[in-house]
Amino acid sequence: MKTLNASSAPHAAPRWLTLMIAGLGSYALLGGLVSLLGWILDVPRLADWQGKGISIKANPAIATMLCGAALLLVALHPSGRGGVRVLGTMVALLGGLTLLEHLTGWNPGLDTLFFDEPTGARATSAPGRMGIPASTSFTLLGTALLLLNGGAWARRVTAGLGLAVTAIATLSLTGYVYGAEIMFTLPRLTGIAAQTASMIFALGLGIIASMPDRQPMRTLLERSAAGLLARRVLPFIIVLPLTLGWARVWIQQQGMVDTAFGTAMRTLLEVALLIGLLWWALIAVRSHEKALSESAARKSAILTSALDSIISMDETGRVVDFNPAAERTFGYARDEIMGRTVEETIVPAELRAAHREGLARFMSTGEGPVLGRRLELLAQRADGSQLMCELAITATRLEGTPPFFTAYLRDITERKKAEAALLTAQTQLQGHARELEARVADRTAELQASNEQLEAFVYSIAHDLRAPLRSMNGFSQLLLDDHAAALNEAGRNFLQRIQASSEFMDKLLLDLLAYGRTARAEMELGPVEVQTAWESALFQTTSQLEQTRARVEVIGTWPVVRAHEATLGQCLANLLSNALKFVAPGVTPQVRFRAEEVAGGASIRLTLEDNGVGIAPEHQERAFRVFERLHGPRYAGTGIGLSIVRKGVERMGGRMGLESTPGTGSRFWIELPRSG
Amino acid sequence: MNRTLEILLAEDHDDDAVLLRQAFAKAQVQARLQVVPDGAEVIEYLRGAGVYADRVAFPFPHLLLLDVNTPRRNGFEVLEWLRQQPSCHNLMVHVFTSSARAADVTRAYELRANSYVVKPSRMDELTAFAQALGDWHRFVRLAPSSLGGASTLVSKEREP
Repeated sequence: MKTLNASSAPHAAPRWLTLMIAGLGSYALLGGLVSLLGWILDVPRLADWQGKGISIKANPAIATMLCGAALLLVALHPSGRGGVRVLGTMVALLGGLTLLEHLTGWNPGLDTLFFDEPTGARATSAPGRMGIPASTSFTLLGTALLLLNGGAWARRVTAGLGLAVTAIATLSLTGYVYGAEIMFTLPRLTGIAAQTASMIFALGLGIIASMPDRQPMRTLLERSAAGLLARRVLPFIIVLPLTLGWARVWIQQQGMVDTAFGTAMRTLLEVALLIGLLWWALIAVRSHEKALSESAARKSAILTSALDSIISMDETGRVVDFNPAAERTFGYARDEIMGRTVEETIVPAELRAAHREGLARFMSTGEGPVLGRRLELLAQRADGSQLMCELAITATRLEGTPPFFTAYLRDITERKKAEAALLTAQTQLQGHARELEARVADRTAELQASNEQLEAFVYSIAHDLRAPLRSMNGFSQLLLDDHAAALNEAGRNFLQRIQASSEFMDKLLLDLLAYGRTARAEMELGPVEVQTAWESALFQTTSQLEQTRARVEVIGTWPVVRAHEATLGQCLANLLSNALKFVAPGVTPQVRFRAEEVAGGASIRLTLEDNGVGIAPEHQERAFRVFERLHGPRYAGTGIGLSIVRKGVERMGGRMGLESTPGTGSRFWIELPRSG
Repeated sequence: MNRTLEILLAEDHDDDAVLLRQAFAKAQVQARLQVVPDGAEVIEYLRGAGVYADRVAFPFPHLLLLDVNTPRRNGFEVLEWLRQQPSCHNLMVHVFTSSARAADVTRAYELRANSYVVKPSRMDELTAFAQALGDWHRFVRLAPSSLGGASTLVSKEREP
């Protein structure tokens, strides 16, 4: 279950580790300083803390100080790499040259450079010369400090050197603890002061602690079971045998037990304690494992129940995980596809080269442009059919193992189909809309054309049809005027009939023209003074008014309506003309015009009341039809006048009506919206 | 001032011309009516082109009665042409037509016709119109250079 091992060691040093390094460095620096003071002030006790007669020499005291300072720099001043390197070089030279002295017997006076020492000091091969363990340790420590900030290889070496130094110091310290003097007193081999050993031990630990990304620190810091085990067990493994050993020696020295019994007891106790330790560690490991397996189970549940296909692939392109959704989507059983390459299974032939190249590129350069973002790619099922997938790929890189890749895929074939269908529908719709627009435009153009034809037709009525009428009328009049004497009574009567007919036909044509104009002409509505329209109506009927000597009365005020001035004038003129025309013989027309607010002031009603012959209720609707004539030949009319009124009022957005009592008179009204 | 009213009538209906002549006679207006059938000929007449060069037989008119619905160049085209002839600006132009279309009326005045008259269809009204025209002409004062301007135009047009 590679996918579950995602946690790896933290490489940045935690704070306590930094403090620990600083503490170890300080110990070495101060210890070295104290020791050196012993030499400067000639207080031997300061260079031999234990009083065993084995004192730290001046040079190792200096080397210790240098190393301590270097560790402090490492811990507290990460940018002071150059200083660490310089200090390391000095320490390595000091240790290395001293070691060379030991090996060759060459004595350039390095050991007594600062302070001299009488010959024959304890555990000393030459006056003032540090022992082999110390010189070896400082050579190694100096080298470690030199390599501390180097590359991966150098750091690995550094950690190793730290371990080696720690081991050397442990050797001497153990000797001191158990009183095994041979381990620290042989001048040519093991001579070293206890304080030197302790400080070198501290420095070795400091070096190791400075390498958190290297073994053994890496494992110690890991959150894994290994790290847990190491942290829990290591202190005991170090302390337990040491303590037991010391106790055993002490007890034997007290003469309480003999060697055989002491060893037996110690071994027994040690085994028991180690078993206990192991058990304790196992409990911790088990609970860690349980947590891990719970986490794994959770993740497995996610994988199993995921609706999306989740496929993992190793660095060679082989399938290492394949969830149930992937089985359903791609038609491969998990067991069947595991270990086969993604390329030969779900990548369609046309994408294989790109897949191979992408993988190779990532493995060589670490670049993966397709990683971590949404993709849409074609994939292939076990039966060779293809499907469109939406997917995202992540790469997981664990320390020390090759990367692996996880792809989350979703079959979007249906969605793509729906999208395509939608697109098609949209396109079709747009097509229809365009077609419709074109059709509307065509129709409008046709209408426009037919309107223009009608206009031309109406115009030809006005111009061409009326011309012969003018001739008929004019010449018959001329005949009557100038040649009446040449005709008898019947001839004159015929001429009069011709003339009357031509006049009537002319009027008919004019009315038809007016109707056509009212019905079709462009009509822009605006504020119209009722007074203006009424005066226009009076003007249009001047001759009729004069002939009939009619009495016209106006009641009320003059409002402003929303209308078309010429049309309103025409309507009122037609109504007035009718009122003057349709009166009983011998009756003088009496007309009353009134303008008043109705509908709460929103509309204006114009009423024209006459004393004419009236219209019976059953005929009132007919009165407004074109060519409909209600009254006999006694009343000359074309039957178009009221049709024009109705059409005009309609087009101005108003309404009109008629109340009439035959024999008494009629009341026509027009209602129009008030303006302003 | 007693003088003969020189009228140029653009009219393609012969009957209408005859009736108008009769109307002037009945109204006892001393008028001479020159009738041309279309707009193009109006222009030729005014330019004094062709036969119209004879200004004794075809004098430059005092006023032009112009139907807008004449064949070849219509009345509006004649009006447009007239406005481009500075020497004809003194010529009185009355549109005299059967069309009562508002658009025609507007256009005629835009082209600066002096008036717009819808042809009366009754003889007595036509006579009244002739009478009115005669009366009006008795009182109206025409620009003095009216005729001279026209001859200038004629000579200018002939130069090239």
